[in-house]
Amino acid sequence: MPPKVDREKCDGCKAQQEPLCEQVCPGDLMTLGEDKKAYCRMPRDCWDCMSCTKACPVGAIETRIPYQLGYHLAKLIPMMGTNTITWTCIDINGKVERFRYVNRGRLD
Amino acid sequence: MMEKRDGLPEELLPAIRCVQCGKCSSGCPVAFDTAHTPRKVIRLLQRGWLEEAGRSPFLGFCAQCQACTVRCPRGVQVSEVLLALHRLARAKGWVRPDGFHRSFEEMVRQRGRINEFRLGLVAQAGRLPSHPLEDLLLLVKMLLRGKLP
Amino acid sequence: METPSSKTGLFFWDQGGRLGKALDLNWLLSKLSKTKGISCCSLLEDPWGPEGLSQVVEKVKKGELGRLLWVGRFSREQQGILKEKLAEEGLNPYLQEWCDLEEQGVCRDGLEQTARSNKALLLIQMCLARVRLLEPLAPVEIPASESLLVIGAGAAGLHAAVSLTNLGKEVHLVERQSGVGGKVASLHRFYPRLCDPRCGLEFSIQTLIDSGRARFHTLSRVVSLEGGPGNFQVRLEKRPRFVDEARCNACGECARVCPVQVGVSPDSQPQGELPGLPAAATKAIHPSLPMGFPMAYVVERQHCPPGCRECERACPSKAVGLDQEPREEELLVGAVLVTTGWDPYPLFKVEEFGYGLYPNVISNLQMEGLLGSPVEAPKEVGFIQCVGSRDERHLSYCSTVCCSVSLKQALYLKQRRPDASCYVFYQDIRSPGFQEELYQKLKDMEGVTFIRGIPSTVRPEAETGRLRLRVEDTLSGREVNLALDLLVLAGGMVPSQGSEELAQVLRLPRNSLGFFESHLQCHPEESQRTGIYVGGCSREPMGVAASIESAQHAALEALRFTGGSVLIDPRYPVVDKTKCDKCKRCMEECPFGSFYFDENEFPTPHLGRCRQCGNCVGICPLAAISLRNLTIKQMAAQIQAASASFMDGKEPTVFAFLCQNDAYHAAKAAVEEGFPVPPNVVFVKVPCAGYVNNALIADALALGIDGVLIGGCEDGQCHYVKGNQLVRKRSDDLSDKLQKMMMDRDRVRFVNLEIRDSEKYTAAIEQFVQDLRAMGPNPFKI
Repeated sequence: MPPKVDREKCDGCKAQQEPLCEQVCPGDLMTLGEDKKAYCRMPRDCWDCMSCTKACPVGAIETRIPYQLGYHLAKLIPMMGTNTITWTCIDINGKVERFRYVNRGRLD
Repeated sequence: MMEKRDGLPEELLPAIRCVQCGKCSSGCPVAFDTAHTPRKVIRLLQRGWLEEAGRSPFLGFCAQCQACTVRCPRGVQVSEVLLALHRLARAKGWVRPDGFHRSFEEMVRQRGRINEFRLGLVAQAGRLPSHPLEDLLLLVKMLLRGKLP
Repeated sequence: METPSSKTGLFFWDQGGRLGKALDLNWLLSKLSKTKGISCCSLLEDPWGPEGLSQVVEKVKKGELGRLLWVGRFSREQQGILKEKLAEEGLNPYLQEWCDLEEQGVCRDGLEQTARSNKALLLIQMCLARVRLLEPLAPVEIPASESLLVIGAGAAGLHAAVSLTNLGKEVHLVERQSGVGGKVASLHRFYPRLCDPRCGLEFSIQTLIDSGRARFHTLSRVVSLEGGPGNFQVRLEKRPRFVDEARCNACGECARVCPVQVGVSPDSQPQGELPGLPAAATKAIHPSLPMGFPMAYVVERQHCPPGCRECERACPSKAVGLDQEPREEELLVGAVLVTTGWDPYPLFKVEEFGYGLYPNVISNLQMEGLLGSPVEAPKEVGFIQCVGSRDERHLSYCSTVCCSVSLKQALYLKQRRPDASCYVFYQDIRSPGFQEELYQKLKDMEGVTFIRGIPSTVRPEAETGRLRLRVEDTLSGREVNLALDLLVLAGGMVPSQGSEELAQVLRLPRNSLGFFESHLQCHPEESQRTGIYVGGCSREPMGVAASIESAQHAALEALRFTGGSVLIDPRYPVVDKTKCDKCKRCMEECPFGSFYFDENEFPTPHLGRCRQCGNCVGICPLAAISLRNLTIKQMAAQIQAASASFMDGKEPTVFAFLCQNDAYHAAKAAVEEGFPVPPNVVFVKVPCAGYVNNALIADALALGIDGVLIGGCEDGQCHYVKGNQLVRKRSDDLSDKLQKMMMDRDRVRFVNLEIRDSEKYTAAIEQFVQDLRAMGPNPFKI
C-alpha cells in the first residue's frame, strides 16, 4: 500500500522545489501536487520501503502495510531520534509490538 | 475579543466595544426628536443598566436606517443592537405597544397586508379624533377630489 | 584548533556543607573517580582562598587536565573568574562546564539519601557526557566597515547622521526626493517649543557638511542589499537630476526661462491645492524640495516640451545636462538605519467628510501649509480629530501626534486672527507629558470650543460654500449645529510609500499595520534583521522629538557593527554538510533570516546576522545543524545519560527542556523558594525552546524516559520572535505520531512559563508526574 499523506499536515516542505520525501524516495515516486502537497504519483510502484515516512519532518506520511502482510488496520510506524529509531507495529487485532534500535550512524 | 459581561445578553454584547465618540448620534436622522440618542442607549447597556436602556423611548423612534452602523469607528452594529434591545424590551414588557401598533401587527399576522381604512378605524376606536370638525371638512374635500373610493 | 586531551578533572565545591548534608559525597566521589575519562576527582575546600585553586591550576598547567567539570553552586560571576583564571594557564574557556546540583532540587526534594545520591550521580554523569564532547572555541572576528547607511533623510535620518558623524563615522544618506528634510520641513511650527522646524534641520545639515563625512544621495533608492552586518553591500539606483550638483549654485536663471508651469510637483509634498492659496507655483526646473538642499536645481523631465533646451542654454555655469541617465552606485556599509518615516493617511478614503470633494475640507498637513502662507486665515474653523484613526475600517491605532497638532494649529490660528472661532471635535484629547500645557492653554482661550463628539457627515451650503455640520455634544447630550469656513481633518500616519518596496529589498518583516517589526520593548530600534535598525515613524507613529530620539538610539545600536571589526561569540550554529540535503527549511523558518547559500548551495548561517538562538537546530528535520557550544550530539549524549532511571521502579521520570531566558529561572527559583517540586524531573537549559529538535524528544522517549516537558515563553513574548510557536507546532506533530503509535500523546507536553512562574512550574510538573503515573510506564522502557 502506498504512503498516505495527511494533507492537513503536509506543508510541501515550505513549497521548496523538492520536498524531503521526493529526495529520499528510491523510486522517485513522491512529488508535489499543484496544491504544493506531496503525493505518490505511481502507487503501484511503491515497495513500502518507508523512507518517506521516516524523512517527513512534520509526520504527515503514513505507510499502510500491504494486505498480503496484514489487513488494512495493520500499521508500522517509525520514530526517528538522533541516534535511535523505534518501530511500532500494530497488527490487525490491535496488538502492539515495539522495537528500538540504537544506530550510531546518524550523528557520527 | 469580546468578553462575557454579566447580565448582558449575547446579542447586546457588541455594545461594550463602543468608545462613545457620538458619531452615531451626530448622523442619526431621528435622534434629536428625543432626549435619548443611540449613543446614550449604548452607554446604558455598557454600564449594564439593561432595563433603563430597554425603556428608552428612542427604541421606538429608530428607523433602522443604518447610518449609525455605517459610521461607527469601532464596528459596532448599532442598529442590530438597538433592534435586539427592542425585542428584549418587548419580551420583558418594558415597552408596551399602543393600540395602533397592536392593531398593525395583528393585521399583518392575519392577512399579511394592511387595510389602511380598517387600521384607521380600529386604531382610533374609542378615541375621538383631536380635531373632529377639521377632519370632517377634509373628508368632504377628499371625496370631492376623488381621493377616497 | 586541535582537539584537546580528553582527561577530565572533576571538582566539587560544597559551599556551606549543603551537599554534604544531603548526599553521600564520599560514595559519589569514589563512584565518579572510577568513571572512564576522569583523571582527577576531588573536593575543593575553598576555591576562593589564596591557595584554593592551586591544585587545579597546577594540573592544568602541566597538561594533565584537558577539560573541567565543576560541581556545586557557582554564580555567573564566579564562573567568569574561573574561566579567566584558567584561560591564563591555557585552558580554553569553552572546555569547562558547571553542574549545579542544588538548582535541580537534589538537596531539597523528598527522596531518601541513597536516591538523592543516585539522582546526583545521574546529573553529574549527564554533565560529563557533555563535557566529553566539548570543543575549544574562540570568538570569530569579522570585518566591519567604517560607514553607515541611513535610508530616509528626514528629521530622524538627519539627526541620526549628525550623531554618527560626530563620532567619526562616515554616513551615506539616501533620499527618494530631490532634497532632504522630509515631512518635518513642510511643517509651519512644531511643539513643544513652537519654533520653525527648518531651524533645527538647517543646523543638522550644516553640521553634516562641516564634518565632511556625510554623503547625500538624493533621488535615490536602495535596490539591493547583500552581505551581513559589518559588511553590507548596497546598490543604489540614482534617478537623474539633469543638473550637475557640483556646478549648480541655485542662481535660478534656468527657472526664469523655463516655459513650463507645474502646479504642484509630484516630487513635493502630497498636499494638493489649498483653499485660497496660490498654487505652489513651480517650474519644471525648480530647487530641491522640500527645503532647497542640496543646493542644486532639479528638472522634472516628464513635463518638458519636446526639444526644449531653454534651461540648458540659460545656465551661466553649464550645470544643466538634460541627457543624464540613471546611474547605479555600490556602497559598502557596516549597518543600516531605516528612517523612512510616514505618509499622511489618504483621507479621501474617509468618505463622510468629503475630503477631495469640497475645497474647504483640508488635512492637517495642508493646514500647516496654510498657516505658513500669507493668505488671510478663515474665521470659523473646525478640527475633527481621529479621522480614520482608532477606526476599525481605516487605521486601528492612534497616531499620537494629531491631537497636539490640532491644538498647535488652533493656537496659531488665534494668533493670526484673534476673532477666529475654533471648534475641536474629539473623542479623547491625548496630550501626553508637557503637551498638556498646550491643551489647558487652549481650553481657557476665548473662541476655542472643545466638543466631545464626532460629526457624522458634512454638507456644504449651496450658495456660500460654508460647511454645515451637526454633532452631538456627548457630554451635555445636546445637538450642536454649526456652519464653518474651513474644516481641518486630523488624519493619522501610515508608513511611507516606499516602505513596502524597501521591506522586500532589505527582507525586513513588517507588522500587520505595515510598520517595520521590532521588539518594541527591550530593543525598540532593533529590527528582525541584525544590523538593520529602524527609527522614527517607520517603526511606530510618533512625534518629531520622539522620532529624533528613536533614530539616535538606532544610531547608537548600529555603531556595534562599525569600527573595523566585530567579534562574534563562537556559539553560532554550523551546518553539517555531509548530512544536509538542502531542504531549506532553516532558511524559511529562521526568525532572523540569517541563512544564505554558500558556493555549493548549502544553507549557511551568516555569523553577523545570526543571534544564536538555536531555532535552526530545532527546525532541521535531519538534525544536521548544531550550535557550536551546544551540539545536538552533546544534547543527545545528555539525554542518553539521563535515561538511566534514578527513581524507584514505578515512579515516572520527566526530562525537561527549559528556555534559559524564562523557564529555567522559574525552575531555579521554584527550588530556591521551597516549592514542592517533585523529584522526578531533571532539566537542561536551552537557549530558546525552539532549540528542541523532535529527534531529541524521540530519543528521550525511545530510551525510556516517561515524559518530556518543554518550557517556553508565553505566546508573543519569545525573545527570538517565534521559537515557542515553532517548537509547539513540531511537538504537536510528534504528539500526533505518538497517538498513532498507540502511546499517550500527552507524554510530550509544552508549558508556557514566564520568568517568575515558579508556582506554575511546580504545578505543571506535579500534574505531569501525576498524569504519567496514570499512563503507566513508557512502553519503550526496558
